[in-house]
Amino acid sequence: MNMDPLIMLEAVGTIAVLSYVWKENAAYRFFEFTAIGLVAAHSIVQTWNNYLKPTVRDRMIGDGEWYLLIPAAIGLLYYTRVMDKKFSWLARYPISISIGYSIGYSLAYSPRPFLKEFRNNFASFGHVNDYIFLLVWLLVVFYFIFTLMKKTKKTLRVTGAITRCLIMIYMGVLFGTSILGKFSRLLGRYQFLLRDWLRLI
Amino acid sequence: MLRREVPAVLTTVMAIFVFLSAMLFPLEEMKILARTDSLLQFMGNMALFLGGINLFRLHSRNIKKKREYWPFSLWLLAVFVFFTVLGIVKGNNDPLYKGLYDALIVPVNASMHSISAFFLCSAAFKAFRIKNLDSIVLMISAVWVMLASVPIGEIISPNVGIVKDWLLAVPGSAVARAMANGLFLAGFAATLRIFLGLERRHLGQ
Amino acid sequence: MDLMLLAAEAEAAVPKWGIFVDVEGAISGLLTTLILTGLTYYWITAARAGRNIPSIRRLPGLDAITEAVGRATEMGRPVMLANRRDGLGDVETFALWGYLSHAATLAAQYDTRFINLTGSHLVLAVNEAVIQQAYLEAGRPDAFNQDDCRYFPSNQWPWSSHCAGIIMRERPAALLWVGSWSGEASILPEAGSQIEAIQIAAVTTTGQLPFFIASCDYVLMSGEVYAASAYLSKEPVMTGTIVAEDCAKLLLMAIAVLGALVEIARPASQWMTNLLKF
Repeated sequence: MNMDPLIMLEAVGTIAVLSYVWKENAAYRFFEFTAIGLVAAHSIVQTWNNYLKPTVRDRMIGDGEWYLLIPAAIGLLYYTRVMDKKFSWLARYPISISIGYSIGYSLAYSPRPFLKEFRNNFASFGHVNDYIFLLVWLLVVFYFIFTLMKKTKKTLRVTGAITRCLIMIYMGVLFGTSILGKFSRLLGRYQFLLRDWLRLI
Repeated sequence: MLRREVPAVLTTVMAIFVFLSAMLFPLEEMKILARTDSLLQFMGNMALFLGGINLFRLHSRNIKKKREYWPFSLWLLAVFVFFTVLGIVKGNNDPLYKGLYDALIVPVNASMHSISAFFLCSAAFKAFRIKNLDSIVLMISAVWVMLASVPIGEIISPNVGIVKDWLLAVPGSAVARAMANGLFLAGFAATLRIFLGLERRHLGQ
Repeated sequence: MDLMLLAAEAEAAVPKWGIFVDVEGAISGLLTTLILTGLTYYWITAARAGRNIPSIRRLPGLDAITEAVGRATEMGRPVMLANRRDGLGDVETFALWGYLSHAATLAAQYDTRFINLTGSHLVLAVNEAVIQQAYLEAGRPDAFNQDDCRYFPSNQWPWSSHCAGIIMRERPAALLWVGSWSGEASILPEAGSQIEAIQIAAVTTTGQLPFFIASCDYVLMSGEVYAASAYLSKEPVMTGTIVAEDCAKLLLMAIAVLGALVEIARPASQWMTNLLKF
């Protein structure tokens, strides 16, 4: 058996987490709560060390970019959510700015990759598979039409079941492909326990 | 007005500013957006303690009210405080910080990922017993793919693999692309609803 | 050589139509944005003017939320809504707030505990406000419990291990999975089905959908996820935005068929493809 304390800790952790399959228990809970405490601390430490500290030290104090105080002050308004209820509405300011930024970005940029993908539907045509592809594509796009008009209702009644079947076949393909990958992960963990820790194989 | 209208206007103005910066001013495009992006990142990072405050508030109340499993909350807070202080004082490249972090996180990451194999089996088993057609079609297709990926599939018939590849490349890709295209249009409509001020849930309305 | 490269760069930097960025799809992308905005504006105006606009078909997954909250109330167990990795500006988060508001309002009306899990501390700031508002609108502001709006960092497996633990300890009778998901989708819904919760998923990640389909009672996929907010509001103006989206789908189908016909008639002409590249 490998007595390295870090390997021992990892082995105990592995067994504790795998025990969830049997039942949620104290050993599992111990590692679960530890992991949350750890990653919560890590996200603060990383932002502090890799981003906030260098920005304040190098850009604000070093390069004199004092205008950074404005986004800093707006960012601090987030904390009004956890302060007195009277001021919590102030948090809407940084939230609105962030959301506005994302919306503008998405209105400008998101159609480009969409068009690139869409035009592949008819970029080349001739093989029987191209016809099948387009037919399936049309059926699925039509399936996700929500507006009820007489014609859509009738057509959906005919094509709906076939389309749903096609979608499920594709879902099955994805399911089957990934299940094998998951098993190789599991075997990897067994290998760690039996070879790296217990040295049985 | 300061509580609702101004934030709503801010959302729209910011969206228009970014949209125009991206569409026009070809030479300045990257500069303007990169600077805005960096300012917004800085703004967002100022809230780094917000999550920690939520975590601290919940678990300290668990301890105070002696709720079920409160000793685990105490342990979580101890780990959280210890690692935050250690990481800020010594830096995240400190050997003790890195060593403990890896030893505790690796088993959780690797083992959680690997237990999904058990859960998928149980999901598959249940899906076969379930009455609805969706799950049955899904599972038949999944079993076909699994057969095609192991040697026994080849023994049964070489066509097992050919059919699987065709399913993935032709109808499968068509379904995936149609769903992605639909997702884009619907997502775009959702974005427009906020842009046009029809949806203001983020402003508490 | 350097001069040639510089010349090529200078040529590439010439804006399209004099003002637009010279990248593939800049004009066609802009036109797409304008057409979609125009369609949405048209149908919103039509709805505001009181004209008859088509209704939207039922989305069984959404109707099931009421049933699930009702069942949770009968069993005296909580309702839980989880979203791990979507950030403040992600479009999935806009949809999330629709579900959150609806489910929290129902839970408040039925006097059932409502738990929300998120992986983003910025999204948490909005989620709390949305839930609080839902309780206020239901006439039960005092029932809002801040301790049930929970954040833990979105690191995939630690988040999932805590979520799986909470599922087993709190035993919610109704579970809602909203937004984009990755590998944890093969564990969490199955954990939910082990405690026999009614599960409803509104998932935007196509690759993870099969796991939700195998374990959940109802799954909303693709465009259905975003149509929810409009569907739930039942307001004609919001319905107008869905009608506009459907018009765009029909337009897209027509363009695809036209593009294919052009390719059949004049193979390798790439006429429609080049048009969409502009």
